[in-house]
Amino acid sequence: MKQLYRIIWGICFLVGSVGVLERLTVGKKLMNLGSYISWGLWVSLYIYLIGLSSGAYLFSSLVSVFKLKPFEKLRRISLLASLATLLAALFTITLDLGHWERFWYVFTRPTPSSMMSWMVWIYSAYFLLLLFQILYTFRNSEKKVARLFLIGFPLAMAIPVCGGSLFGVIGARPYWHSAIFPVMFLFEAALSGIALLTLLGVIFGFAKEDKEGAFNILPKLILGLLIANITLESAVMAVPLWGQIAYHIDAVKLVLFGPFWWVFWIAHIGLGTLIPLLLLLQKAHPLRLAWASGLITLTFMSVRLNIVIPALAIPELKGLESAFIEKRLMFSYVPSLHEWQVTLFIASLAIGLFYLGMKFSSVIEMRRGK
Amino acid sequence: METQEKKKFSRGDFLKMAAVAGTSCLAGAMLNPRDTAARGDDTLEAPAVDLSSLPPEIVNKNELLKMQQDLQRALKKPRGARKWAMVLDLRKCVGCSACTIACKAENVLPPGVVYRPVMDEEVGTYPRVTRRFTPRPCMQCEKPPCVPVCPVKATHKREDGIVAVDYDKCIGCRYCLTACPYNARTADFGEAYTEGTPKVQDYELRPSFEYKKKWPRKHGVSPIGNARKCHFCVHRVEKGLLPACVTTCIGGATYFGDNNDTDNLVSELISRPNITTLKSELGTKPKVYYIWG
Repeated sequence: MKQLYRIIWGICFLVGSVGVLERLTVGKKLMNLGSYISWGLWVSLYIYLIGLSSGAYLFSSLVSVFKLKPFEKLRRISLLASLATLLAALFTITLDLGHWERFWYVFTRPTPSSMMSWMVWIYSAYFLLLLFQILYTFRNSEKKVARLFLIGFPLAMAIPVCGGSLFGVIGARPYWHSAIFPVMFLFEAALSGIALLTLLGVIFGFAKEDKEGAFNILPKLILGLLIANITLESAVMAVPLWGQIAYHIDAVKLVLFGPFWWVFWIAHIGLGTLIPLLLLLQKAHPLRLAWASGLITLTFMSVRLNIVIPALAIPELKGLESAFIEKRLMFSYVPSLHEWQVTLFIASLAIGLFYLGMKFSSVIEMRRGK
Repeated sequence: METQEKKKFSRGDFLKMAAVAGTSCLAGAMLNPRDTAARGDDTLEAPAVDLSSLPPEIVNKNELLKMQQDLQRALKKPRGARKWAMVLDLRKCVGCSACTIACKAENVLPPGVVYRPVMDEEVGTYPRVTRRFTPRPCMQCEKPPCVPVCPVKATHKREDGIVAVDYDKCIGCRYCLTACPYNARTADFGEAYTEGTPKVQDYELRPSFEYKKKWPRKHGVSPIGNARKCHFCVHRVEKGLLPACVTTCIGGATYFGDNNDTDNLVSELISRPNITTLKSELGTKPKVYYIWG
């Protein structure tokens, strides 16, 4: 079975690598993005992975700061997952840049007024912090780790808040321009990150040897966060619909009833919310928990897609959609095969990095009590 | 006697017509110099425009020549003392999109990049139906939302009010594209219209001369991968030529000039009560004005 997983992973990695090579040699011609829908699958994937990373880290920093003993065993796995998803996210956004070779200008020509600058600075600090934290954790330098978590806790809060603000400050897009976005991103990161950790915990057998009862508390925590997220999301949708100003509701209508309605209703509401909700409301069981957290983690990508794309799919001026008709001047977007191919690479990269981290660290041995 | 009068009249008429035709040809030649249109790719020099040889009354009667004269006056001032503005008289716009194409040719714009599309709307209900054409260049906002979001200061506002993109600094994150409330920014994906044919045509591989620099069209080299937008043809303007969309507008619907100069034709139009801007409620204070009716 293990061999089969490795073969599948290898195929995904190889197929994806071809896409990355194409991106590096051909440029961005193979993408289906345009001048109007200028952010698509990769930016969605980026914020999805950043959410997973910061959410998982936020959880482990909470465990450390508030000394939540039952969850301490998940701390190492969460650090590795945070680093793997962060590296994958940074690689994704690098590929999305038109001139990735100039990314360092963000440090040499800083613009404090740009939320993107803050995002890069905070992520860089987070990356360094994670590296040191992993180093000290696996060296068992508990004092240093605890100190780093004290810095890391506000930083982990700032990451999703900054991500939400990146969209929230854009006044030109009424769908994004909401004060609730930074808060919503924080809750979303917490939900997706903790769901990922729970899934990994069950997969790697932490749930079976759970004397402290962590896996009895986790379903309740996920359930609470799921309800909080649905509440916030409902507010984002309902407030503009209630207001009935066409300019404000176009993007919301596109999410709910547009050509990709199924991304919201089936992937997000059905698979990512209702089924996990039903599973979590039942008596705690590792398998049910794995399914619930797995579904939440996986389908969370639909939430990210529904944040990024619909806001850009609404013309800012009436008549612009037919003013100059060209492939890259359309207000519709479906990711190209190339984009999916690179996404496959990113997914396999994150899994590969995590696996390597697990293999070369003492996480599994720790669990086995060796 | 009758023949003599007729002859005399015809001669005067001929002279008037000749003067008008001559001026028009001269204006056309001056404002669209052949050397500029068919310039070699490695020259940035534009021929000097000399209006001093024309009688002032002719210059004042011809809006293009008047704008040209205004432009020459504006260029004598320091850059910071100028405030470029554009006026679009929608009553005169016939929706021919010549401005769009002129802009495409002038700036060698690839597929997916358009600086000045013309929006075509059908207004009213049958039988009272009409069409409204609205060209949409960059608004060169006084308070541009695209500037503060640029993480590397590539997008900046020049002292003459033009919102420019430093192609050498732009990282291609496209955050500015999302921030523009007019969808006036586009991304260069490095494509060519004749791609997929036996040969990518030379005219697509010409360099552009935006921002008074030579930008060769090569894979991975700016402006490929960058955000791109209308810049009021600043490379032409600072050489004493009107923007390409102004000189090619067959309806004479596009006006350009220095709004800091009260004698300017553009300033005169902007001071009229029927002037407006797009999405004025946003407070971006566009420097592109529209005359609706």
